[in-house]
Amino acid sequence: MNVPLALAAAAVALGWVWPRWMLRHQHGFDPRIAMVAWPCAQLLFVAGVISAAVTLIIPGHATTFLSSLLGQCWDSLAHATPAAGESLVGAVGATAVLAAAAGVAIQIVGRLHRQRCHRRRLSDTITLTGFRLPEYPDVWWLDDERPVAFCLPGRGARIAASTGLWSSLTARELTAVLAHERAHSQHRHHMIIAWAESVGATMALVPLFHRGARTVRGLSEQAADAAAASRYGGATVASALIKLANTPDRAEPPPHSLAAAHGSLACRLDRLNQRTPGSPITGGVGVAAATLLCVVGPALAVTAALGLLTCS
Amino acid sequence: MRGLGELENAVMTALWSATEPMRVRDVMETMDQTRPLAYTTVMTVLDNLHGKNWVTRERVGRAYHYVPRLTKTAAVAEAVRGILDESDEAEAILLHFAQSTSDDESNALRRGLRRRARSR
Repeated sequence: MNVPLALAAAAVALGWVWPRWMLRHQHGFDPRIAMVAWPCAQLLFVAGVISAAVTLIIPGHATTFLSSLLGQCWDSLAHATPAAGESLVGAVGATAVLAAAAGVAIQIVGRLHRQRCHRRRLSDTITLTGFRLPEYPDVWWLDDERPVAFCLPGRGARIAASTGLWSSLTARELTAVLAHERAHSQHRHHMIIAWAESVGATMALVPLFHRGARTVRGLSEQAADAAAASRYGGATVASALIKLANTPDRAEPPPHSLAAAHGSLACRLDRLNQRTPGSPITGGVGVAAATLLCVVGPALAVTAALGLLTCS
Repeated sequence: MRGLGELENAVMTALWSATEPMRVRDVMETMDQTRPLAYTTVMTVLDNLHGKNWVTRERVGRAYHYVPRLTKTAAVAEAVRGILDESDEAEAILLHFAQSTSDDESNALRRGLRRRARSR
């Protein structure tokens, strides 16, 4: 079996075919599964590419690479230095992988640092100006009539809400909104978002990363909605969502954010109103099967095609 | 020992309730007298708050006089505005419940929900 080529084929399928399939089908899955599936597929892609580069660069591990690729004619022409060619391809691949890894690391560190600075500022505002109530021991309240609830994720995560929610929402809707924010912090959504957006910014040429960066934030909202809906009902979360989106004193979103915000709001309401939300087990099995097919299918196809070529 | 956040909160409350600039000693006297704090503790807290741009200070004689940079209401309003603005910055630091929508879209969404509720 030609290991590097099979790995490369699997990576291509994961990078280009998997995101198309996922975007078409993910609305049918539990959002919590879909949200985790993206980083998992991305890690598989990275593992595939690194393994392909490593098998090429280590002498003796892929001696059939070029010969099997172009048949025995090529072998007879280049038999003197087949390993050198492979090493060169491997070295170029390894350099690209290292450069991408460094880019991702720089992106993640920079992003996390900026976020930490902004969060600290907001966290200070919450501590200095907010107050707590015995009914909601984990929530910091800000005295402002504009209704807003948010989660400041990370170490010492905070949930904050404005007193404006009291007049905008019913008691049940209010508890559902707070459960939504708690789900964000409990399930560490910000880590998945930071990863997806950082790799998306670094490897934007590969749809798996580019599309992942755009979809994961919306999925995190849907996942938090699902967590709140499982306790308080989809209708409660949906009505809270509509009431808050319709707040008269809201800020107009800047033009570049319109499409994303609107699209995701419609998706969230749509999902909350689904009569039969996807079961996590079915969704998990479906995504796992599709991912496995993307990895194994192309690898087997490449192996079979090369087998035919070299035997003929 | 009270946490730093709680001490900062108490010091800011003292400054916000005052009508004039305060020295470290004035802040100490205004704060909860049941658990008196050391002079240096209050000074450190005020110094931290100055570093974080929550208070401004002016040297008068040998002592600093402290004033809050914003009123409490303005500080809350500034934070809430930042969150609602949906800037990239706000997007990056937190996950908040609802995005704004255009009037047309939210009306359409509401109509759709009503239809669904009726059809059940």
